Amino acid sequence: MKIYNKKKFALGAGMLALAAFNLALSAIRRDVDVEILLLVAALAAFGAIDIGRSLSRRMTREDRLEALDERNQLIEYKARSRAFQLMQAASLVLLVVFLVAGKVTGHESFFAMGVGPGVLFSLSAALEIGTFVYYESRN
Amino acid sequence: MGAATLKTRVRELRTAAKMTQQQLADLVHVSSRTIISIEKEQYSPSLMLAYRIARVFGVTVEDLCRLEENMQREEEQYENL
Repeated sequence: MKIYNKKKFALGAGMLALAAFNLALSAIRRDVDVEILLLVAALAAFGAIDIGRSLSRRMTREDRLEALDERNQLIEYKARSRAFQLMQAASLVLLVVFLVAGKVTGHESFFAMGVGPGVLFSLSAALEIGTFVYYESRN
Repeated sequence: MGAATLKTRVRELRTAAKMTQQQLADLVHVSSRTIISIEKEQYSPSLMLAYRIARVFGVTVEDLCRLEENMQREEEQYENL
């Protein structure tokens, strides 16, 4: 039995382990419900699929081709970029909302709630500048 | 304003060669979804991919990608800026 895609195999094994762990934990706590069973089933299924694909030469080649496909790479860049922009915008909106709410109501807890989105927005802005400078100098 | 996607002769040449999208995809090392997107003018192939496809059909990249026609289309866009 040869492993053609070690990364995928490890990911699949990890998911199976997570499924087993969740099931065992629920059994010990005597807290097995439908949600847990669905989660375990999903993890086990995806884990088994990943392991199966990593052991097949043909399927590994297909997966590598998909990863190298230029259109797939472009879509991934576009999706991640847009998700980052939306997350940045959402952080800013939340920050403003909490600041305004704190000012209007006088409850300082709103200011505290705004710290998280504020840090997230500041960090994302700094990262954006940093990565822009990096790629600008490289290309 | 982003660049418009290219109109190509991929579908015309592929059907003339009686080739499926999957067969062409396998020959040029991309997914069939990429070939579908190129034929639907939803995606413009990279230079290397266009060259690979052109070689499969024995045509030039200029001919495959209708570069003259696409360039004129782009020129009209720039004139309207």
